[in-house]
Amino acid sequence: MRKESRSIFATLSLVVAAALLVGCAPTAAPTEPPKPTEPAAAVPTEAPAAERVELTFWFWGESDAPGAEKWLEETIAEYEKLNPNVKINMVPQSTDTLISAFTTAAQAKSGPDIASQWATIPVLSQVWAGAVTPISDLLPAEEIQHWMNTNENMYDGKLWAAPLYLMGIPMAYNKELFTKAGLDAENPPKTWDEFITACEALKQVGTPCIGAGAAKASAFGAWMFAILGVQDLDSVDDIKAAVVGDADFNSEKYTRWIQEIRNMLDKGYFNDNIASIGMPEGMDLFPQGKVATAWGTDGQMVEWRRILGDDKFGVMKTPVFGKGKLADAYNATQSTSYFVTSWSPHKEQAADFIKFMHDKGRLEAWYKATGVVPADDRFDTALIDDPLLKTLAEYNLSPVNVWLENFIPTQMDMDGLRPGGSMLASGASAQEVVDLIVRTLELWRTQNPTELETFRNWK
Amino acid sequence: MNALHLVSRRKWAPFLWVLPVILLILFVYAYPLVSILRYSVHALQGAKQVFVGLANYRFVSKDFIFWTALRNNAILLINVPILTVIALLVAIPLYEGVKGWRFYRSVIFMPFVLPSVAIGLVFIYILQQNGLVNTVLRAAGLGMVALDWLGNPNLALPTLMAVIIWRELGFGVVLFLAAMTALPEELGEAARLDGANWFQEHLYVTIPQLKPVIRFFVVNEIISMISWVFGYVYVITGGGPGFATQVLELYIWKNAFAYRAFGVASAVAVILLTITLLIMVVGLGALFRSEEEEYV
Repeated sequence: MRKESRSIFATLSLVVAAALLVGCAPTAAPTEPPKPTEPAAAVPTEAPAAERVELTFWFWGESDAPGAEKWLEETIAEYEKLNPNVKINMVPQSTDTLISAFTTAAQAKSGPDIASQWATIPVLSQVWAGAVTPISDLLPAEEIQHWMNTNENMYDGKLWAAPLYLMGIPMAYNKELFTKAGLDAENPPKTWDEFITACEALKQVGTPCIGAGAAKASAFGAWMFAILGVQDLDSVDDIKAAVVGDADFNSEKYTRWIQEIRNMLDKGYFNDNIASIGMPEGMDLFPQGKVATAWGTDGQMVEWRRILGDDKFGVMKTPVFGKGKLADAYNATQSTSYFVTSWSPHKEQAADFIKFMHDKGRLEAWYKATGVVPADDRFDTALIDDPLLKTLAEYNLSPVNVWLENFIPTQMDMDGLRPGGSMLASGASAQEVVDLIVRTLELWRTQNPTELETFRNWK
Repeated sequence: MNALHLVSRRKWAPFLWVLPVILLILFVYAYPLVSILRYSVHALQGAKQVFVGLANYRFVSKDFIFWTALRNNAILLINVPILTVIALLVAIPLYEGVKGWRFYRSVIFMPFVLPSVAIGLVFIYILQQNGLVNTVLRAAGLGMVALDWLGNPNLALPTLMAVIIWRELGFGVVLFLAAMTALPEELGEAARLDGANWFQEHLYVTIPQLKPVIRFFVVNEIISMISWVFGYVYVITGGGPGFATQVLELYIWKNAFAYRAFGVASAVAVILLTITLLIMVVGLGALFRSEEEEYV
């Protein structure tokens, strides 16, 4: 019996010992052990090299600005040449997992040294989670003062993330279809009344005025909120007040745009299949010549002009719809922002690289690589010789820029505005959509007391 | 006698040998389950998981989107009897060796092997307002029935259900066909000799013999309708228009990955798991009972 027990013990000991040996083995690629015969003189005699720094950059931007990743690779190569002790690994991020992947990394406090998130709420959510180091603590004010739209990432008197580029949502119009409807193609509508008159004229000749799609949780409702809804507000504090419940979202100030979209849908100013197609398919009706106008990104404007040609393609700002102080504001946003993580052991070096991304030469290279205007006043707009790109740059460099979607909780966007937009397209009344948004906000306040408090203190 | 031999002779030795697999199974199944249960009573506040008791469950119980999703999942269950009846109606002629049955069997089974995402993408183009179906209907002078299949909130869910039936049918047909080929032919012959017509023969002889397989199919499809429709919904409608096609899986996904409300997502996952387990217990219990009765 004792013999058996000893044997079992011996067997188990062997298994445990083997497991321990395996467990203790290095998991990374083995490093060669120092050769015992090497003389002490083999130690380098020159001055000790600067500390080796390895940075990981989780980058997103290619979807907004094709060519962005190639530009970043070049920027990294140049930076590494100037700083031989620094190695930067760029890890492209996917749109679908941009938030969730970083959230997971932030919980584990490991992952990138520099990360990308969409401006404002996606960035600030990570700030509130303690995952971000304020960039204004790492870089001097004389550098930051050149950056544009920094208000999108300000919290508690600090700037938390850096912009790289600006993108707006202008409106394209088809000159040929305008002319066919008896409209002045060289002077597109500037006021909302003029725009509605144009839509009516286009309808009379059988052309849908606006191309859009609201199916599949598309951004239609969110875009209309950001493009039209903003125009009835006096400042972004107005929407924050409605979000936290200090102002009534039911009031006309917040809901007039919803009623206007309802009216326009009823009058047949949108494409008839708006309810069954997504936003990209809806916008694609414009370059096909099936609709007279469409909202789109700067990149889409360039593409649509290529397809339609200069004689048919025209671009304008959204006609003035609102009555608030933001009625004249443009909608350009830095889209995505870049920040140093709170756990990075090389914060200064990471910030220094972000600064290098704003080097004048790199800004020019960015523009050449992507055709998207950098968010930095050191960029020389005289370099833009294409009239369309010049116009888009002028729009984007407007004195007041607000993309209102950046200033609301994700739930209001995903459960309120987007389904609300598809409900409108499917025939729901404006009040039903308003009720949905109000209910979504109430739920968000119940579920997120901490975030609610942060919103209240967000100045 | 070496140590291994000695261990092998012990009564508990088999348990020792299967221990690694048991640990693996525990890791693969039990760990995620325990984690989901744990997450469902926690909420992410800042970077910390804070214990919130049943707050996530209370939130879910007040969320109209959750109830809409639950209702839609319940409506999807209507697919189960429809699928079962159609699958039987298709399988019987194939079993009887209708000309070209092998070809028909392949054609019917084909959708089942296609990924639901690919199917969704194809059906978007077929079913949208100016898609293939409506274009054909208009060309045939049937413009009045060229409806907005995906954009109308009253039609979107039934349209989605039709797509799911189209795909899942192949599984039912092949399953029933396989079971039928194993049935003794004598009973059918005896029924025919006794004067049973085609309908009576299958209703009173063939289908009763298929009961265990039918029960298995029904349980399987119920589980599918409750927790395996994400692919169709996400690709074809995204849960819209509005929340007309919202389902629990999409609700979980949105809370977990769009709102980072892992606690809420986990609470709904626990609810979904409970519903599925109940169905499995009741359904499979009935299945095993019926099998036992047959062998008694």
